[in-house]
Amino acid sequence: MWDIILKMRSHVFKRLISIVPLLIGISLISFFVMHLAPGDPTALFADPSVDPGELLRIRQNWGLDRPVYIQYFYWVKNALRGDLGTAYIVNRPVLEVIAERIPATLLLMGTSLFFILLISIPLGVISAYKKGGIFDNLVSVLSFAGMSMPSFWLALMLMLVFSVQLGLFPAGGMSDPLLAHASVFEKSLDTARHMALPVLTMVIIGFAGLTRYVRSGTLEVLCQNYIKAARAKGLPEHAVLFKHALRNSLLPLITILGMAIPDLFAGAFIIETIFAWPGMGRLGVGAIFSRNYPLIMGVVLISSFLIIIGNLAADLLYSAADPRIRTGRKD
Amino acid sequence: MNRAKAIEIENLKTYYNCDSGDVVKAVDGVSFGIGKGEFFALTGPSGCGKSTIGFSVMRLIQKPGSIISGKMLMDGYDLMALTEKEMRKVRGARISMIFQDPFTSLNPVLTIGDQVAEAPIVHLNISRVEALEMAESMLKKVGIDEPALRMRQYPHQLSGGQRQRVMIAMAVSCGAELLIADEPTTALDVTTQASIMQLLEGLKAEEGLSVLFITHNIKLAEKYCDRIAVMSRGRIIQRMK
Amino acid sequence: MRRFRKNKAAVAALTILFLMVLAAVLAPFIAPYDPRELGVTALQAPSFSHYFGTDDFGRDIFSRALFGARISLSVGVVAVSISVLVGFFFGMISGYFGGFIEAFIMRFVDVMLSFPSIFLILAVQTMLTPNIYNVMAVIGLTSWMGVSRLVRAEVLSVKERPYIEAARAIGASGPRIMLRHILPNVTAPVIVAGTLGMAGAILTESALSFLGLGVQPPLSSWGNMLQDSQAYLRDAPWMSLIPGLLILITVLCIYLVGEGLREELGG
Repeated sequence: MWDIILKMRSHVFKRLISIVPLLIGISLISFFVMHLAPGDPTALFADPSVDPGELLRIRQNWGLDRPVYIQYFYWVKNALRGDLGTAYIVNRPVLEVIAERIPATLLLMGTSLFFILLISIPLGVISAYKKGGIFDNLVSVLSFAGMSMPSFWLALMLMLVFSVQLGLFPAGGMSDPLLAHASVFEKSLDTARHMALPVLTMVIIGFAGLTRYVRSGTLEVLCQNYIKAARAKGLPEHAVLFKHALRNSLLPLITILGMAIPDLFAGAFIIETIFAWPGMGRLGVGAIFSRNYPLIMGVVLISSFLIIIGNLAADLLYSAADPRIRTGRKD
Repeated sequence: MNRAKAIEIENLKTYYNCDSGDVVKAVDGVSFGIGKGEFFALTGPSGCGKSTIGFSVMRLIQKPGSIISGKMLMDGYDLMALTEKEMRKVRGARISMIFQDPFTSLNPVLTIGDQVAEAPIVHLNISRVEALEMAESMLKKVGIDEPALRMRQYPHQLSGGQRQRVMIAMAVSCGAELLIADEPTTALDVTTQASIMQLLEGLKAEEGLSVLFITHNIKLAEKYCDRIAVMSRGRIIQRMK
Repeated sequence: MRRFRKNKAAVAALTILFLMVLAAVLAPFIAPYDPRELGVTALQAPSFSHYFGTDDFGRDIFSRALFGARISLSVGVVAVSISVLVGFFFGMISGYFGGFIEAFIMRFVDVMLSFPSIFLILAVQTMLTPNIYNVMAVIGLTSWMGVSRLVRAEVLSVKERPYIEAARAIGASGPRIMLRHILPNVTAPVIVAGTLGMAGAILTESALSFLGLGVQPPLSSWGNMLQDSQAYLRDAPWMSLIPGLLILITVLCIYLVGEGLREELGG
């Protein structure tokens, strides 16, 4: 593993450099959006109803008596130190409040992604292999249906069926307060039960896109000459499919995953809200409703940052996985 | 010309049923025989059906095409009568095929060694370690320099000529009697072409390899092949020596 | 349109969409009740007098749905038009001028794609007063990136062709070349992208309205109908089921038509 990383040194370095303009871009746009907010600029960084001494400190810290473009640099300076302002009401640093909630969101997104991949890859590959057959058409229909549902509606319907009518899964939250002193195993099981409906919603909405990509990627691969050559060698079909076809069709999937991350995040915002899942998404939407400006901007910034990191990771993973990039051009 | 035959094709017909309802008669009643250790060329303009014959002999024709009728006799067996499972034992072991573009015929994400060792593992029932050793010696045999290094490399790291040699190595690794070469030198430059042809001639002399040489380049066919059949629109229209 | 016609699903979808648009346009005439009229019989299940039942204020859901169709469909169309125009503009100038302009715009596209769009839209809506017009604008202004990449790719490929050189040699001006030669090639993939965009716009608008930051009452959009229905999930499930199904059917039909167009136009 390490030797791969060492060989790719320059490549990795170049990629890391390339995210700097992105970070500058998102900070500029976030800053711009923040200043759309009506009212006193101090409201963007802390609750304006605090005492006058605090107000003065805020004005100095964020350069609010200076021109707007100077304010941007103050803001960047503070952001790099980890200071994104103070959230209203709770009066705690924004970064701290958000950081507490990130694990819950990552848990939800990670589990959903895992199941989406678990479903999409086989469905896509088999659909491609048996193109035009009943399976292919069925999967197609289900995919279209999944893509067309409004996520919040699906969430409500699932809640209706599984929580209200059947009482199988809890309708919200992440844990049962009665189990506060239960064993780790019981707590995990409890968390899993609470996660079931949100994950199910995200999976139903999310599997469609990925399945179609896997299908079209596999179709492309199956027409390739090396597949014909593999068959001409007398290899059994399972070797042709899994050893030769799959590896090639999964490579572009890594890139697609990178592109799917922003969508997953967007989905998480709404689903966390409906299922009262205590993650960053729910925090953000709550901040929206309470006009908690420092928190709103913090969530925009942090979630964009995570998306950029996610894309970077997918990019580097792809570079490591594709031998053509890994070993460089002809020697 | 009564030497033992490597393969005898009788009245082969391969048709394609298109969406529109038309039937394309890609191969329409072709018969020929290839002797052991003979280079037999199949030539003609593009679209005349010569490549389809190659795939038909391997029984690799896929929908919407199918082999309508004909016999393909090898050692007394009719290849058409074999089950798919039995045919798979023939492919790569007794009859092999190499293609026009060696780059796209090799899997870009697997090592050369891995790919050359595949056929022996499947056909010769040997272990992976033995197969890899065998692969390395095959690479040497077809004239690839630094075989140990090349085993661990990927297709994009080799030149066009080297890749075609790898294809040939894969094709003869299990002792095939007949090699179907579909435009094997078309994608290569003239010098490389010559060296590949020399390699094939060497194999002909040493192993008694028969080759069904499919090409649109009549000059090449005349230079290297023992007999030539010219095709047009699914039929053989001329035979030459 | 031969291939499209052969795709039965696409044809069926187009028919349904057409009927839906027709119903939306004729809403004032065919709605059996005034959608804002408060009725006496609240939370009634679907029946012959109220096809989709009534909501918590006794309003006829069928009538509200008809007017909701007007909202959702028009937001879809306008938002997508904005995104196509903006995307086309950026794609065109980045492809044509190249160099720094192209690099800058493409970086800008990357940045925009790094935001979780829903949240960005929500944030912006918080700062403004949500109404149907800024919903259309905001959705349009955050979904143009795909189109711009498509257009840029097309411009780049056309730019190299010999007849462009020829056109320049006889003195044809830059923009004229762009429009005459690039436009026809770009139309097909942009139309396909447009159908996807419209589906997305309708889904986004419904999410916004559901959260209260989109179309405001008393205007009924399918999204904000779902907002009210949440509290009555157990007692009046049809209130939640029907608007959602309508969104699903509309979006599904748009996707199917898009697929059909893609097959036909070879995009």
